[in-house]
Amino acid sequence: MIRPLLLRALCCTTFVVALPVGAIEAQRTVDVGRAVTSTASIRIFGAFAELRIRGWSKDSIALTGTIPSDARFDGGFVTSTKGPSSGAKYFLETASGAPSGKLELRVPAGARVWAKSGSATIDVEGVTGGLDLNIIGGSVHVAGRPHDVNVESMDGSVTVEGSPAWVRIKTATGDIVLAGGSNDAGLTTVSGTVRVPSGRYERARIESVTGAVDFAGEIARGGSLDIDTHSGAIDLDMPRKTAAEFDVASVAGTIENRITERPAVPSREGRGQEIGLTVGGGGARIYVRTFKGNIRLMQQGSSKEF
Amino acid sequence: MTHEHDHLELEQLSDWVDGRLSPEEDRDVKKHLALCTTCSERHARLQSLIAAARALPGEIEPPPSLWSDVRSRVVPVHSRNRQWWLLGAAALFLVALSSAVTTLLVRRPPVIIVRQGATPAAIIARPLPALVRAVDADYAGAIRELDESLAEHRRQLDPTTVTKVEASLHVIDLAIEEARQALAADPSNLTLHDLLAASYERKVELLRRASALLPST
Repeated sequence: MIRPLLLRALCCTTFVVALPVGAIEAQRTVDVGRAVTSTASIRIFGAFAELRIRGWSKDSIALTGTIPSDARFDGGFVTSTKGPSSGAKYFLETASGAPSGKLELRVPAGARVWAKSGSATIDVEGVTGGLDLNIIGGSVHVAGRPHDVNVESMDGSVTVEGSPAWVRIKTATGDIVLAGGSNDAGLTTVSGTVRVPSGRYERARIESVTGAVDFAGEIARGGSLDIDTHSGAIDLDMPRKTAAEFDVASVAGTIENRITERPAVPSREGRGQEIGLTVGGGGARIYVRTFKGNIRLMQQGSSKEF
Repeated sequence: MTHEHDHLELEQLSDWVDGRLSPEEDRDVKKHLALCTTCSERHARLQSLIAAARALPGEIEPPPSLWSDVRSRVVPVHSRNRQWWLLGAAALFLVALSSAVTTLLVRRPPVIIVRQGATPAAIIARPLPALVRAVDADYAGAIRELDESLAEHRRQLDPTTVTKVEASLHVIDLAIEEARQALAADPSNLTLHDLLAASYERKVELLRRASALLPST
């Protein structure tokens, strides 16, 4: 009696162990490519778990990677009777619906890429065209100098380290990091944090409900920075050469000013605090509003301990 | 819209809002709006502008003294120049009227959503200042529309996603509630007004994005 029981147990164990191995092995490769125009438009959406997008100097698209063998992978290139294709569209659907598969998409640097997935890691480098990326969870990382970047995420974090001319990032709980600068930046979150550790900005707008905002970028002369939060704390750590007019108010929070000697005063509207400053002769406009977040105005190089 | 990544012309968007497009164009616009954030935002702004315009009085009477003032300036002028004076005065009047209308529209933030059931009974029971009611009303339509759409299709969304969206909506609702209460106590506080409107905008934006996650979009 003992031996059959042992055998059965052994069989079961083998089956349990073999199942995931089998699942992992049940993959197939994707390898498609074609000549396209240098500003081709590529759309890829569905249940991919990992997508690497690389801009290259060739006028062609190459999509490679592995996907589950039972996944549906459809799409193709825009047909053109004359010359190269103007774009491509691909769709991945897994049997379980869960994100799976790793893809690498190589595109002409000037291409425009549109990608949408449920939960995915998207990593982009070397694209100078446009990016429109949409995820629910996971993360997005963009490096380089894309002309325009639009990223939407629910709880996925978003990091843009390049310097897109135009950038919009929207998350629900995902954290946002923008470094590198932009002519026109708009960052919006509900409860994620927003960090802008560096870069030069012509126009920047940051909006949050409860997420903290930490801005340490440079505002161009004549540029503007607008920040509003409900309860998120706001730290402005401005470069020493900043030339700007500050208009800062917190309805129910505090304001600590380390940029000049002047302390914040009770608000003209009867509650909270406000402060108006002109530093470096002015030039840029910095407008900060929060309902109950605390605001700290600092100059880079000075102590952040209050 | 000639290309899937081009943006919709304002005229095209306006025609679509007015229902003046062919069924094929209508499908194209709907498809584009579902995918394009920029045009979707422009559409929301257009809708809010229309809603705000609808809320304006049907006629705006000029002050009684205006015409007599214009006439007193026009009458002494040589008949050949009279037409020019009249045109000038009319132009000035139109500019003033246009400015007044623009001011009214600009002072009203873009319209958006209050979820049904999201407003606590205590707040409903308390008389709210006109300013708070105005902001609420501005956003109510859009919020209701998106909310209903989301409620109708929520089964198509992954339950985890629904949980995430609802958690964020809850955070925004709390912020809206706090701002409303503060504005109710301090109706002249323009900062509060702006912050309340901003929270409503966050909510509309989140609902719009959640709707965009539906498989059909």
